[in-house]
Amino acid sequence: MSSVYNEEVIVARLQDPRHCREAFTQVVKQYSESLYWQIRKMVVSHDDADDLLQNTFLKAWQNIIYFRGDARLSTWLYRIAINETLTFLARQRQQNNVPLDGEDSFLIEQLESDEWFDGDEAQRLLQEAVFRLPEKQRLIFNMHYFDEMKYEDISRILGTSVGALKASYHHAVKKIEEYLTSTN
Amino acid sequence: MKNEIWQKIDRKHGFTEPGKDYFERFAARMEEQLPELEFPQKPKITLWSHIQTWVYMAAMFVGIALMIRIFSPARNQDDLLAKEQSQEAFYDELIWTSCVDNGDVYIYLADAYDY
Repeated sequence: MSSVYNEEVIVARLQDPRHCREAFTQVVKQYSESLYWQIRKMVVSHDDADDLLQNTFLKAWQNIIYFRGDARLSTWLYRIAINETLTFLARQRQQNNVPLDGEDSFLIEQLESDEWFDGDEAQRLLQEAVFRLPEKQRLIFNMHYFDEMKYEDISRILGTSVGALKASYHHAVKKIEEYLTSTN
Repeated sequence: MKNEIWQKIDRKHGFTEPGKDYFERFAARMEEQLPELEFPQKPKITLWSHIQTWVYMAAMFVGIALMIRIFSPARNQDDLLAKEQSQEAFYDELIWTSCVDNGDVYIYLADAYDY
Protein backbone atom coordinates (compact mmCIF):
# COMPACT_ATOMS: atom_id res chain seq x y z
CA MET A 1 0.00 0.00 0.00
CA SER A 2 1.41 3.36 -1.02
CA SER A 3 1.65 5.93 1.78
CA VAL A 4 1.28 8.85 -0.66
CA TYR A 5 -2.27 10.16 -0.62
CA ASN A 6 -3.74 10.46 -4.10
CA GLU A 7 -7.37 11.60 -4.12
CA GLU A 8 -8.25 10.11 -7.52
CA VAL A 9 -6.89 6.70 -6.54
CA ILE A 10 -8.60 6.87 -3.15
CA VAL A 11 -11.99 7.79 -4.67
CA ALA A 12 -11.72 4.87 -7.12
CA ARG A 13 -10.82 2.48 -4.29
CA LEU A 14 -13.70 3.76 -2.17
CA GLN A 15 -16.10 2.53 -4.87
CA ASP A 16 -14.54 -0.92 -4.84
CA PRO A 17 -16.01 -3.20 -2.12
CA ARG A 18 -12.70 -5.05 -1.81
CA HIS A 19 -10.66 -1.93 -1.02
CA CYS A 20 -13.10 0.64 0.36
CA ARG A 21 -12.43 -0.02 4.06
CA GLU A 22 -8.69 0.33 3.63
CA ALA A 23 -9.14 3.45 1.47
CA PHE A 24 -11.49 5.00 4.00
CA THR A 25 -8.94 4.50 6.77
CA GLN A 26 -6.52 6.50 4.64
CA VAL A 27 -9.17 9.21 4.28
CA VAL A 28 -9.61 9.30 8.07
CA LYS A 29 -5.85 9.65 8.56
CA GLN A 30 -5.67 12.37 5.93
CA TYR A 31 -8.54 14.58 7.10
CA SER A 32 -9.12 13.84 10.80
CA GLU A 33 -6.74 16.53 12.02
CA SER A 34 -8.03 19.43 9.90
CA LEU A 35 -11.66 18.45 10.55
CA TYR A 36 -11.03 18.05 14.27
CA TRP A 37 -9.63 21.57 14.62
CA GLN A 38 -12.46 22.98 12.54
CA ILE A 39 -15.02 21.35 14.84
CA ARG A 40 -13.08 22.03 18.03
CA LYS A 41 -12.81 25.77 17.35
CA MET A 42 -16.58 25.85 17.02
CA VAL A 43 -17.61 23.71 20.01
CA VAL A 44 -14.60 24.26 22.37
CA SER A 45 -14.89 20.98 24.29
CA HIS A 46 -12.57 18.18 23.15
CA ASP A 47 -15.08 15.47 24.06
CA ASP A 48 -17.78 17.09 21.94
CA ALA A 49 -15.33 17.61 19.08
CA ASP A 50 -14.27 13.96 19.32
CA ASP A 51 -17.91 12.76 19.19
CA LEU A 52 -18.71 15.05 16.28
CA LEU A 53 -15.63 13.95 14.36
CA GLN A 54 -16.64 10.32 14.82
CA ASN A 55 -20.18 11.08 13.64
CA THR A 56 -18.77 12.91 10.64
CA PHE A 57 -16.71 9.93 9.52
CA LEU A 58 -19.48 7.45 10.29
CA LYS A 59 -21.92 9.45 8.15
CA ALA A 60 -19.34 9.70 5.39
CA TRP A 61 -18.76 5.94 5.56
CA GLN A 62 -22.47 5.13 5.45
CA ASN A 63 -22.87 7.34 2.38
CA ILE A 64 -19.60 6.55 0.67
CA ILE A 65 -21.31 4.45 -2.04
CA TYR A 66 -23.19 7.57 -3.13
CA PHE A 67 -20.02 9.68 -3.39
CA ARG A 68 -19.23 9.92 -7.09
CA GLY A 69 -16.38 12.42 -6.95
CA ASP A 70 -18.41 15.37 -8.28
CA ALA A 71 -17.04 17.47 -5.41
CA ARG A 72 -13.67 17.07 -3.77
CA LEU A 73 -13.60 14.56 -0.93
CA SER A 74 -12.34 17.25 1.47
CA THR A 75 -15.23 19.57 0.50
CA TRP A 76 -17.73 16.77 1.06
CA LEU A 77 -16.23 15.88 4.47
CA TYR A 78 -16.10 19.53 5.57
CA ARG A 79 -19.78 19.92 4.66
CA ILE A 80 -20.73 16.88 6.75
CA ALA A 81 -18.59 18.09 9.66
CA ILE A 82 -20.05 21.59 9.56
CA ASN A 83 -23.62 20.27 9.38
CA GLU A 84 -22.94 18.04 12.37
CA THR A 85 -21.37 20.93 14.28
CA LEU A 86 -24.17 23.40 13.55
CA THR A 87 -26.83 20.86 14.51
CA PHE A 88 -24.96 20.18 17.76
CA LEU A 89 -24.66 23.91 18.53
CA ALA A 90 -28.37 24.44 17.85
CA ARG A 91 -29.15 21.71 20.42
CA GLN A 92 -26.70 23.30 22.90
CA ARG A 93 -28.37 26.67 22.43
CA GLN A 94 -31.75 25.11 23.14
CA GLN A 95 -30.44 23.43 26.28
CA ASN A 96 -28.85 26.71 27.46
CA ASN A 97 -31.97 28.75 26.57
CA VAL A 98 -30.02 31.04 24.25
CA PRO A 99 -32.31 33.33 22.23
CA LEU A 100 -32.10 33.10 18.43
CA ASP A 101 -30.09 36.32 18.09
CA GLY A 102 -28.17 35.84 21.34
CA GLU A 103 -24.45 35.26 21.81
CA ASP A 104 -23.08 31.79 22.52
CA SER A 105 -21.87 32.83 25.98
CA PHE A 106 -21.99 29.18 27.13
CA LEU A 107 -19.01 28.59 24.84
CA ILE A 108 -17.00 31.30 26.59
CA GLU A 109 -17.76 29.61 29.93
CA GLN A 110 -16.60 26.30 28.47
CA LEU A 111 -13.41 27.89 27.19
CA GLU A 112 -12.56 29.17 30.68
CA SER A 113 -12.84 25.67 32.14
CA ASP A 114 -11.29 23.80 29.19
CA GLU A 115 -8.22 21.79 30.21
CA TRP A 116 -7.02 21.56 26.58
CA PHE A 117 -6.77 25.30 26.07
CA ASP A 118 -3.44 26.85 26.94
CA GLY A 119 -3.49 30.03 24.88
CA ASP A 120 -2.08 33.23 26.30
CA GLU A 121 -4.19 36.23 27.28
CA ALA A 122 -4.33 37.61 23.73
CA GLN A 123 -5.44 34.24 22.29
CA ARG A 124 -8.08 33.84 24.99
CA LEU A 125 -9.43 37.31 24.29
CA LEU A 126 -9.50 36.56 20.59
CA GLN A 127 -11.48 33.36 21.21
CA GLU A 128 -13.92 35.31 23.38
CA ALA A 129 -14.36 37.84 20.60
CA VAL A 130 -14.86 35.03 18.05
CA PHE A 131 -17.54 33.38 20.21
CA ARG A 132 -19.45 36.66 20.21
CA LEU A 133 -19.73 36.55 16.42
CA PRO A 134 -22.77 35.16 14.62
CA GLU A 135 -22.34 31.49 13.78
CA LYS A 136 -21.60 31.85 10.07
CA GLN A 137 -19.15 34.72 10.56
CA ARG A 138 -17.38 32.61 13.16
CA LEU A 139 -17.09 29.72 10.71
CA ILE A 140 -15.74 31.96 7.96
CA PHE A 141 -13.30 33.68 10.32
CA ASN A 142 -11.96 30.36 11.63
CA MET A 143 -11.52 28.94 8.14
CA HIS A 144 -9.85 32.00 6.66
CA TYR A 145 -7.83 33.31 9.58
CA PHE A 146 -6.71 30.20 11.50
CA ASP A 147 -6.77 27.59 8.73
CA GLU A 148 -5.73 30.04 5.99
CA MET A 149 -8.23 28.53 3.59
CA LYS A 150 -8.81 30.33 0.29
CA TYR A 151 -12.15 32.06 -0.20
CA GLU A 152 -12.80 29.83 -3.25
CA ASP A 153 -12.46 26.68 -1.12
CA ILE A 154 -14.66 28.12 1.65
CA SER A 155 -17.19 29.08 -1.02
CA ARG A 156 -17.36 25.47 -2.26
CA ILE A 157 -17.87 24.16 1.28
CA LEU A 158 -20.43 26.69 2.50
CA GLY A 159 -22.16 27.31 -0.84
CA THR A 160 -21.74 31.09 -0.40
CA SER A 161 -20.32 33.47 -3.00
CA VAL A 162 -16.75 34.69 -2.62
CA GLY A 163 -17.98 38.30 -2.40
CA ALA A 164 -20.34 37.48 0.47
CA LEU A 165 -17.56 35.59 2.25
CA LYS A 166 -15.19 38.54 1.96
CA ALA A 167 -17.86 40.87 3.33
CA SER A 168 -18.59 38.48 6.23
CA TYR A 169 -14.89 38.14 7.04
CA HIS A 170 -14.45 41.91 6.96
CA HIS A 171 -17.39 42.38 9.37
CA ALA A 172 -16.01 39.67 11.65
CA VAL A 173 -12.56 41.28 11.79
CA LYS A 174 -14.11 44.68 12.59
CA LYS A 175 -16.20 43.26 15.42
CA ILE A 176 -13.21 41.38 16.84
CA GLU A 177 -11.03 44.49 16.72
CA GLU A 178 -13.75 46.51 18.44
CA TYR A 179 -14.03 43.90 21.18
CA LEU A 180 -10.27 43.63 21.65
CA THR A 181 -9.73 47.39 21.83
CA SER A 182 -12.63 47.77 24.25
CA THR A 183 -11.18 45.16 26.62
CA ASN A 184 -7.64 46.65 26.55
CA MET B 1 -2.69 49.13 17.92
CA LYS B 2 -4.84 46.88 15.72
CA ASN B 3 -1.83 45.52 13.89
CA GLU B 4 -0.11 44.86 17.20
CA ILE B 5 -3.06 42.72 18.32
CA TRP B 6 -3.04 40.61 15.17
CA GLN B 7 0.74 40.26 15.22
CA LYS B 8 0.62 39.15 18.84
CA ILE B 9 -2.00 36.49 18.13
CA ASP B 10 -0.26 35.32 14.95
CA ARG B 11 -3.02 32.94 13.76
CA LYS B 12 -2.67 30.70 16.85
CA HIS B 13 -5.97 29.56 18.36
CA GLY B 14 -4.59 28.37 21.68
CA PHE B 15 -6.31 24.95 21.72
CA THR B 16 -3.99 22.01 22.29
CA GLU B 17 -3.98 18.42 21.04
CA PRO B 18 -5.70 16.22 23.62
CA GLY B 19 -2.98 13.77 24.54
CA LYS B 20 -0.10 12.25 22.63
CA ASP B 21 -0.82 10.62 19.24
CA TYR B 22 -4.49 11.48 19.49
CA PHE B 23 -5.00 11.47 15.70
CA GLU B 24 -3.25 8.10 15.18
CA ARG B 25 -5.37 6.61 17.96
CA PHE B 26 -8.47 8.19 16.53
CA ALA B 27 -7.85 6.63 13.08
CA ALA B 28 -7.37 3.20 14.65
CA ARG B 29 -10.50 3.60 16.79
CA MET B 30 -12.47 4.74 13.76
CA GLU B 31 -11.36 1.73 11.71
CA GLU B 32 -12.70 -0.61 14.40
CA GLN B 33 -16.03 1.21 14.55
CA LEU B 34 -16.81 1.15 10.85
CA PRO B 35 -19.78 -1.15 10.22
CA GLU B 36 -19.92 -3.50 7.24
CA LEU B 37 -21.20 -1.84 4.09
CA GLU B 38 -23.63 -3.41 1.67
CA PHE B 39 -22.78 -2.41 -1.85
CA PRO B 40 -25.73 -2.64 -4.27
CA GLN B 41 -25.46 -5.64 -6.65
CA LYS B 42 -24.80 -4.66 -10.24
CA PRO B 43 -27.74 -5.81 -12.42
CA LYS B 44 -26.92 -8.64 -14.91
CA ILE B 45 -26.89 -7.56 -18.56
CA THR B 46 -29.11 -9.96 -20.57
CA LEU B 47 -30.09 -10.08 -24.26
CA TRP B 48 -33.55 -8.88 -23.24
CA SER B 49 -32.10 -5.78 -21.50
CA HIS B 50 -30.23 -4.97 -24.71
CA ILE B 51 -33.24 -5.20 -27.06
CA GLN B 52 -35.91 -4.18 -24.56
CA THR B 53 -36.04 -0.52 -25.65
CA TRP B 54 -36.26 -1.40 -29.35
CA VAL B 55 -39.01 -3.95 -28.76
CA TYR B 56 -41.01 -1.41 -26.78
CA MET B 57 -40.51 1.21 -29.50
CA ALA B 58 -41.61 -1.21 -32.24
CA ALA B 59 -44.68 -2.25 -30.24
CA MET B 60 -45.57 1.36 -29.70
CA PHE B 61 -45.38 2.19 -33.42
CA VAL B 62 -47.47 -0.87 -34.35
CA GLY B 63 -50.03 0.17 -31.76
CA ILE B 64 -50.17 3.70 -33.13
CA ALA B 65 -50.58 2.40 -36.70
CA LEU B 66 -53.46 0.13 -35.63
CA MET B 67 -55.13 2.93 -33.73
CA ILE B 68 -54.96 5.20 -36.76
CA ARG B 69 -56.53 2.46 -38.92
CA ILE B 70 -59.29 1.74 -36.46
CA PHE B 71 -60.15 5.31 -35.49
CA SER B 72 -60.30 6.93 -38.95
CA PRO B 73 -63.98 6.22 -40.03
CA ALA B 74 -64.06 8.93 -42.69
CA ARG B 75 -61.37 7.19 -44.67
CA ASN B 76 -63.08 3.78 -44.35
CA GLN B 77 -66.43 5.13 -45.62
CA ASP B 78 -64.70 6.77 -48.57
CA ASP B 79 -63.04 3.47 -49.42
CA LEU B 80 -66.32 1.54 -49.27
CA LEU B 81 -68.18 4.15 -51.35
CA ALA B 82 -65.49 4.18 -53.99
CA LYS B 83 -65.51 0.36 -54.11
CA GLU B 84 -69.30 0.26 -54.42
CA GLN B 85 -69.35 2.88 -57.16
CA SER B 86 -66.71 1.08 -59.16
CA GLN B 87 -68.68 -2.21 -58.90
CA GLU B 88 -71.89 -0.51 -60.07
CA ALA B 89 -70.11 1.03 -63.04
CA PHE B 90 -68.65 -2.33 -63.97
CA TYR B 91 -72.02 -4.07 -64.08
CA ASP B 92 -73.67 -1.18 -65.97
CA GLU B 93 -71.02 -1.33 -68.61
CA LEU B 94 -71.19 -5.10 -68.83
CA ILE B 95 -74.94 -5.06 -69.41
CA TRP B 96 -74.74 -2.14 -71.84
CA THR B 97 -71.99 -3.66 -73.96
CA SER B 98 -73.48 -7.13 -74.05
CA CYS B 99 -77.07 -5.84 -74.75
CA VAL B 100 -78.53 -9.10 -73.56
CA ASP B 101 -82.30 -9.30 -73.38
CA ASN B 102 -84.66 -12.01 -72.07
CA GLY B 103 -84.95 -13.66 -75.53
CA ASP B 104 -81.19 -14.12 -75.75
CA VAL B 105 -81.19 -15.68 -72.31
CA TYR B 106 -83.92 -18.18 -73.26
CA ILE B 107 -82.06 -19.16 -76.42
CA TYR B 108 -78.87 -19.59 -74.48
CA LEU B 109 -80.57 -21.75 -71.87
CA ALA B 110 -82.36 -23.89 -74.51
CA ASP B 111 -79.06 -24.51 -76.28
CA ALA B 112 -77.32 -25.36 -73.09
CA TYR B 113 -79.85 -27.87 -71.80
CA ASP B 114 -81.28 -29.13 -75.18
CA TYR B 115 -84.94 -28.29 -74.57
